[in-house]
Amino acid sequence: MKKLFSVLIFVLLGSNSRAQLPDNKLNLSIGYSYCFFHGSEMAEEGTMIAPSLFSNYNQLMGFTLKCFVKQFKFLSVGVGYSSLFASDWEAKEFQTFEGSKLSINAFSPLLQFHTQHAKNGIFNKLKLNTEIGASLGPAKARFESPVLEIHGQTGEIPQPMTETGFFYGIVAGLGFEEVIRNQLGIFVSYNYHLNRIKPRLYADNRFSYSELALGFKVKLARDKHLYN
Amino acid sequence: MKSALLICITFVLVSAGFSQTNRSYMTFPTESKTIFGICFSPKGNVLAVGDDTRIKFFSTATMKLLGTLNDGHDKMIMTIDISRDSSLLVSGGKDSLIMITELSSGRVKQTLKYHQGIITTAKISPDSKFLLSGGTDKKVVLYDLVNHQIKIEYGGFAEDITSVAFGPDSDIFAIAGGDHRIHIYDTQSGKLIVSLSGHTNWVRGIAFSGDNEKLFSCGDDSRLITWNIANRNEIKLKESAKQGLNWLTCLDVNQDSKSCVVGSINGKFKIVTARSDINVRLKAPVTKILFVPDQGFVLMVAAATNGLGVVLIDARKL
Repeated sequence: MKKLFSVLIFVLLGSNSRAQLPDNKLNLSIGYSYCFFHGSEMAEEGTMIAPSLFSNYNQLMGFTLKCFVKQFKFLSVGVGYSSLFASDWEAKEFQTFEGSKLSINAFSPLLQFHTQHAKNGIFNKLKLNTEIGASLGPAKARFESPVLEIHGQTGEIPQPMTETGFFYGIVAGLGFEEVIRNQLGIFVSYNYHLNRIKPRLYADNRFSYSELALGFKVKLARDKHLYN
Repeated sequence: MKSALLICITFVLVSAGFSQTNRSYMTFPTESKTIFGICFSPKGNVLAVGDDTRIKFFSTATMKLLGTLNDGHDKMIMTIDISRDSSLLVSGGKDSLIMITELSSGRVKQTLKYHQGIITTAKISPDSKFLLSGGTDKKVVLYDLVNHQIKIEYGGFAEDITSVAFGPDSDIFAIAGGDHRIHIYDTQSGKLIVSLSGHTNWVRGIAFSGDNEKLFSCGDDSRLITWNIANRNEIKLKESAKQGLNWLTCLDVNQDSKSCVVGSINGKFKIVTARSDINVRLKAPVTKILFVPDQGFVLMVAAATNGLGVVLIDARKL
């Protein structure tokens, strides 16, 4: 990670700044997301305390896709989609969700505030941005063993082994883009997601995670009117 | 700590390396660093520069300011041209106005108001009889400078007009723009001779060779195309070459008709000669590029930029 960071700094500082003035109207960015959940080991729901599903996953990763349309000089609107996959559930004194897998599909309408390309200097290639938006989508958990013990009068009842809960929340973050070509750039971003959820099979009613994303940004349509 | 030190040392070395390349450039002392319109006097001893709303004249030899002309533009000047007989200077700007100035007296002879958008290009024919202009109103006007009236107006282009050029004998002219095509017209009749398809994106620069045999064009598809125009009834593509990945914004043909220079949006420009190619990199988009006339085999190039003003480059020092 340190090496990667050093290489990024080198690219930023060492690359000769070139003209990147024709700004993009439509951006598509695709990247790899490395995430980690926040929160305590135990979740509370009323008087019930149970191991948290979300915050005990050690691994959360996937990909992110964003599309922005530049509306004003410093503002773009767009949509984002993240597909994340969590595994390696581990809690100190519980085995409740061990071996379970979780997939999160988050859709986000986003507002992005960004700098413009400067005529020269480091900000000729570098653009900083901050974004905020809503987040919603399904979080599907697949359990290795039954979470509940259900007994019926007529015998065994099939145990639910999956749970799909719909979440909603907010997302906010910041990042930068370094232009490689007029049509192509790399981006690094950090986003914080805070969501609410109403599941049946686990006690979490909210979850939050940080998302570090690294990827490519493609400019699909640029402003042709250089003289404006 | 070690890696941070290494990064700093590398940065200093890299920066030092780049600054060395800049020594072969000389910058004209303009007020604005964003220049779109430049043009040489026919003998190449004076460079006229559209510096914001005024036109400045510089000595090519000493790079000193010779004089300033305020021809009445109230917005940035986008294009200027001097007639072959050095009698007239024409300028077009973001204010949609075209000013025709008598160079001997510095008096504005005419103000033309027939465009509605930004005037991106204006050229006087080599015989000084016509003025051709185009702009963001997707319109081209051929103006008769002798009878002081519009000869023909061409409207309905799909996109902005970016460049116009007269043939060396003034008998034909070419129009290029955002419709990916180059349209060649007969000057006297005003009729379309041919529409050339070869570019796959906006065409930004066109120029005829002095020997009347070639037309050069470049554009956002990064292609430099040479068209064979020797036979007017059979104008066809002669050569097409990709020059990198960036938009090619402007070009010029040297008086020897063999060398051309093409500028790009990322600050690179390339002098293509029969013997070899010379690549130069500036830190700002090249908006207009011209060979200094009457230099013989010595290639000197003036480049207007969006960020660095106007630079003069002596190819011998590269």
